[in-house]
Amino acid sequence: MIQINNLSFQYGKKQAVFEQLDMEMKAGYIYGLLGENGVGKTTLLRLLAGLRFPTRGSIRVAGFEPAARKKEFLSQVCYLPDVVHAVPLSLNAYAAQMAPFYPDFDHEQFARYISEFNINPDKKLSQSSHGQQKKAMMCFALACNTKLILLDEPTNGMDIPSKGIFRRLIAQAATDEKCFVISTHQVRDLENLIDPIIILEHNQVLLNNTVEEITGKLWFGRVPEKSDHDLYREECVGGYAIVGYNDKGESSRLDVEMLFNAAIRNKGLFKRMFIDEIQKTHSSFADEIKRKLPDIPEKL
Amino acid sequence: MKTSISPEHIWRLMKNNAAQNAKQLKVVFLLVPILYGLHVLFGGMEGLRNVSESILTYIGIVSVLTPFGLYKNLFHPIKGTGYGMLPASQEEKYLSSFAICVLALPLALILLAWILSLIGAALTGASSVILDLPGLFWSNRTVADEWNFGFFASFYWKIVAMQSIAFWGIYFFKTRKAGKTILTFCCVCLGLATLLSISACSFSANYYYDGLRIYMKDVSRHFTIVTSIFFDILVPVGLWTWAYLKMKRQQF
Repeated sequence: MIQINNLSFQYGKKQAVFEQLDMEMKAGYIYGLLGENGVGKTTLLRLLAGLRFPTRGSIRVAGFEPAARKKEFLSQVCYLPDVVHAVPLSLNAYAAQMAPFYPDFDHEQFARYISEFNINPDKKLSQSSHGQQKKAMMCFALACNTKLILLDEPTNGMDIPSKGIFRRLIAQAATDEKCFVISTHQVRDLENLIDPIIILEHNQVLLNNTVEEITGKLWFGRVPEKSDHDLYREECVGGYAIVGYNDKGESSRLDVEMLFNAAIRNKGLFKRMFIDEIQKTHSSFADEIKRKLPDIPEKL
Repeated sequence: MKTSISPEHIWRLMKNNAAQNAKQLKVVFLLVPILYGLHVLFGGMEGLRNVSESILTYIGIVSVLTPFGLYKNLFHPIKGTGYGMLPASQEEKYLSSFAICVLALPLALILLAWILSLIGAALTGASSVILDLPGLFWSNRTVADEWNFGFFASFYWKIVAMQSIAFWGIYFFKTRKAGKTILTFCCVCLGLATLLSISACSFSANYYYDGLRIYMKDVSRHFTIVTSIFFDILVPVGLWTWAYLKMKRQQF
């Protein structure tokens, strides 16, 4: 779905955000995009949406180059920014104007989402609160049924019940053909939803792995005593909540916040463990095939 | 180069833009009958005869400034994102803005003024107050006593030619479009005026001392024709083209 090769991007002449970034995202997943402030999460989403152009390198989304802004590409992408610009139209009027641009827009789904979020579709968006605007645009975005949905801090401004509704609707909307990329700091809101998890650091990707792969290598839990082998720990009642190596191959429940803190404190290790290891595995597999089947020509 | 243009999409974009700027457009159109009414109420018959001049001046000003009002958020990183992500090709978005600014709004305002003049004539019986509609789209005025540019010297073309500066500005600048465009325009005018003044002074000074005044008159006639072609035709077309090329490279 998304291939990013050797991507470099900078604002102006000095502020480099990405340098030679490589990343892949596949359809059928809900990616959680995490990172500290200023690492480029929003910039990456805007690059994927075609709102910004790479300085160098390439991005392909569903076979299209986003920077070309072709309407066939735009009809397959929905981008919901953190700050929504509220137009002086009601949600129904907005949908009446915009829906015809999206060939897969589903009016029944749209009505259902409005009902779930308990929004007044006849109230002007510009007269609604920030949270209501967010929910309204979320309803529209999900009803567009685009292949790629980019959400930047989607739960910002939402009340607690709405966050639960949001999680449920995203889980229902996810299909094998769709790819969700959700950038967020509110990891507790989306912990059970996002899989795989991408952690961005300045100019590099520390992690782009599924929950299964992460918990296969790391252990999350509570221990009575701290250890020098802990990758990250926090004091809690009865001992310490830690992130450590999963030497014993035990299953544990991923704590995204703990994972993030561990990754930030052990950047080189995480990159070697997850990104470099995956690349080595891919090249090892190719070498293995060549070794076992030497007679197969390069080009068939 | 393959482009993707659907008239239906262009129409929808125009409707979308009109809907989002409905309040501003209502004010713009409402001021025409208000202006008309004020002239008639307080100017009497004389006011009715002169109202067309006032309304046409108003239409000229509004038409030139329209792009800044309707597209002030174009390429804005927050307010322009929705429009930028709209599934229409770049060409369709450009043509829809061109259709609104250059065609729809000036023509609609002129039509409204003409209808009001018809109403005025019907009420008073004075046919002289009817706005000369064809005259707004074709000029019999000649340039340098010989060239008749017709449509390109008409009232309508003059305002869209002037508007092309604003149209270029909305695509060239991301923020504070009106201010930056006006500043750029003033600087260009100042530069051109300085250059032309220096050229004219040095040229006329030489020919004054040589006494070839008839040649100066011939030069100025050609100069007038060339500048008319340049500023009335080439500059607007060039600015529209520049705006299209800039649009493709603008980021949000």
